[in-house]
Amino acid sequence: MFEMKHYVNRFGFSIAVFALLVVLCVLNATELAFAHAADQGFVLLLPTDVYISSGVISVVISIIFVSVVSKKHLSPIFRPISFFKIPKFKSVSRTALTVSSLVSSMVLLTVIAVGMFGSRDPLSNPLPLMIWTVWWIGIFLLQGLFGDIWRWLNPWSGLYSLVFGRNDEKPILTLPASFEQWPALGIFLLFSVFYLADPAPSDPHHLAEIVLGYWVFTFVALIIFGAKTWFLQGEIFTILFGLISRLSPVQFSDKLRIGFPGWALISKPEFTLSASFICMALLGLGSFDGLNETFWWLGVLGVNPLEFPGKSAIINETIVGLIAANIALMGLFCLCVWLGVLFANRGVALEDKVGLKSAVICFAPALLPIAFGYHFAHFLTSILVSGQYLLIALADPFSTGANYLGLSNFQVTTGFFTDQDIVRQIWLTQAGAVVVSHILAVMLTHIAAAKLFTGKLKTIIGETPLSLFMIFYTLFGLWLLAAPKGA
Amino acid sequence: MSDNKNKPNISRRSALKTLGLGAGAVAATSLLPRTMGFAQAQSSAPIKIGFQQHSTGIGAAYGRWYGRTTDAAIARINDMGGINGRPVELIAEDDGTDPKRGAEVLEKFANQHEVDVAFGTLFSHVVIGSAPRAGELKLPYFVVSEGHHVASGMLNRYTMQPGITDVKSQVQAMAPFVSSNLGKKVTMIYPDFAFGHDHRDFFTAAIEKEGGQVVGSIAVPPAETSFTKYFPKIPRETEVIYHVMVGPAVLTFVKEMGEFFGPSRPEIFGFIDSLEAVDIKSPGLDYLEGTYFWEGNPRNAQADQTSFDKNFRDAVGVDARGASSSDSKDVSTYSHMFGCWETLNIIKRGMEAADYQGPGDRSKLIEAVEGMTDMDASDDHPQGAKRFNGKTHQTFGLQYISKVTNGDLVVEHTTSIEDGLYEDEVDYTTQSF
Repeated sequence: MFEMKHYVNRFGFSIAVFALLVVLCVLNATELAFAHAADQGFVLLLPTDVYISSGVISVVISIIFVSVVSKKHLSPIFRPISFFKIPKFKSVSRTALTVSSLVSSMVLLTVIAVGMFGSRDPLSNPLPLMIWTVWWIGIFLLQGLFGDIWRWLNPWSGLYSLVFGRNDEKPILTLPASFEQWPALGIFLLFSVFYLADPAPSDPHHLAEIVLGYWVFTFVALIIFGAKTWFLQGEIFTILFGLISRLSPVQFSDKLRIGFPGWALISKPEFTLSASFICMALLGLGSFDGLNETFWWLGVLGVNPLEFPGKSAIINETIVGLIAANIALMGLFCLCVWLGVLFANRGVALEDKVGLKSAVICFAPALLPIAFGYHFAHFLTSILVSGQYLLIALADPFSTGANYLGLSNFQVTTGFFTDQDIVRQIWLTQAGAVVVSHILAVMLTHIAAAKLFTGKLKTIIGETPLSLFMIFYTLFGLWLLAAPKGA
Repeated sequence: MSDNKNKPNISRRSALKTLGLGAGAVAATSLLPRTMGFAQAQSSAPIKIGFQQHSTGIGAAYGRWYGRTTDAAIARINDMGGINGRPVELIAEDDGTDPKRGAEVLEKFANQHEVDVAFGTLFSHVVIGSAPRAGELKLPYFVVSEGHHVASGMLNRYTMQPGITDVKSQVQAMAPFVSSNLGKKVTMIYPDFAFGHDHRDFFTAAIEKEGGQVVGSIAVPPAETSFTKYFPKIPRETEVIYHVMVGPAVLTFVKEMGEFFGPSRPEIFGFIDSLEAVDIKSPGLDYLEGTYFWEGNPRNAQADQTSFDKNFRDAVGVDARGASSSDSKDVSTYSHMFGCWETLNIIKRGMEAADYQGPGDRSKLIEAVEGMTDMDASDDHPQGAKRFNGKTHQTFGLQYISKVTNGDLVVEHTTSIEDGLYEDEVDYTTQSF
């Protein structure tokens, strides 16, 4: 109950509530006098310029509020409440984890087989829907909301412990700890290239080969380097989903702990430098995923957005754009951190100066809520449509005419994209996610700055360049939502 | 941690070897043709139709409705006993609305799935990118794209468009109605790329033949999302505006046109392509009340609706306003999708006429379709009568001009097949197989 008192510290809590209210009120203030039509066309008719400025103003207000609040008042919000402790949690969960992982492996290998030998249509074969809609969109979001579910769905860990036992000694090769998670970052960049530049990432057979290939690759790496090492340093999705899960208000180990979203990001263990760059690469992918569909980007490439020549015509351009987006984002973020450190270090004794590396590590977790907000906003409309295809595919997974879910007359609809109110609500939900995620990032940045720098003034000086980065990224994210798209 | 339970059961190196063998086996199976294991006699084996579908990419809205129509047509054909006593199997492959993938899909159809014919696809660039491969593979390729590229002679003997008229014919057939009912001085507003240029060229020629004149020709850059600066370019003498804007900014175009003209507007004539799959009753489109549209097939069931149209709607699951019967907001691509239905019925008749038994009879099938001419309106042809030109591989049909009346599209005029005929530009029958 002691922690509870802190958690509901009125002042701190009211900031969060206020910020949320600002967003929701301002965003909903403008009623439309005109309207309508097909998804994109309707978005172009929305007064998105008003919404965008409201969103940016909300973030600016939150920065001002958070800046004047001392760490002493802000930190208690991020202190979790601990609930019950489960007796014998470790030994029970170990067996349960093995079983659930084995089930997950079987499900994965089954859908891979369906991908190879089932329907050729990406919208009726369950594999592309399971990988892109359920896993990349769904599990990603669930991780951020409910904690580390992926631990239970990891399709290698159960089989590995069944074959090799739990003794992880004597791997064939040793992966030095100094390599940190850089191998995982490398794999993530390859994944980004496949996801964005491959002409047919949803083709069932092609995707089945890629997924199976990665499954085998990872299993081989586990054998060579040992599971503990490879899950910690090489298997990107375990690492990435682990990072995302620290955004969740709910954390479950031997105890159930619940707190303000992101509380686990500012508790131990600290990020590594490579994990910080993984956060940047995640946001880089999310940003370019939105950008590469816009008329603006197609204009840069000299492509007619109304006669898009197909992904295979712009493979190299997409790869170059993705790399450039990553470099730009990483460069901009590190530049902001560097400027903050440079200004805040002025007049500080040499031994008390803050180093760039430790500052990057300290600030990088604040990028995760933004990446999460982008992910939600970007995929919301896909969820609404692919979710329907998924239901139909699961009702007849092997294209045999089966109807396991009793959906024989169910037809996929996109009619809600032509309803003025629904399109506006969808857009505002997306925009709300972008804005709220930035406000959370602002709060995390402030706590990180207060941890790094001594004194209120130095804290504000040290975080100001990053605050400008957050404002810019809010603007960019909302502009992406409103921009006309053609690819 | 050193109890027996935790001891490795297999050594790491032997596990790697096993995995290597497994991977090799999987790789080997994935190279096998997908039809392995089918040992049925050809006489009872299904006729396979490869459906090149815009499941993803910019054509996905059309792809979804082409898919629904195709499924319904195949179900009907199978209910009626299939083709030559054999069931029909549809193999759908996504082309991503991507010309390169379109060509790859045809290769898969021919080499992996061993289909009898390929069919589908709307977007012109995918058809143009795929057709040469169909020719190389000697795979009959039935397209539903309404582009002029088939009849213009740029494709090949294996590519045919028997189920939907091409844009040249559509535009030409509109001109007499426009000049005698709406006005002779026309300003055209069109997107500045091939699609818009086709409209400009075909309509300018057709209206001049009718004694009319294009007094203004406004090409709008494709990436434009605001149009206010273009409306002042419309000459004052304009009696009719002819618009064919497409893309996400169409609604903005209509809204801004309304703001520019207010109530005293010239007559307005457009192509429904601009608003295919969009409900005309949507609030932003009020300004279109009283304007005219070309429709390939009337979206609203008309007072004199044929039983063929009714049966077609019932089979596909479309209501009297052209929306999905399960969601009245989900408006179909009604002006185009009938082409899938009719093309599949033509494939059926062609195979029956050629006594088609297998890929060896592909040239016989093409010759049989080339031999087709007039087709009456029927359950096979719910959009109306057609006349197929075997030399140009292009069909000609009726066109509909509808007026927006209380938010419904009410047919004012139906053209004749003759209105849309033009001189042959190619004779594919002279090309060898």
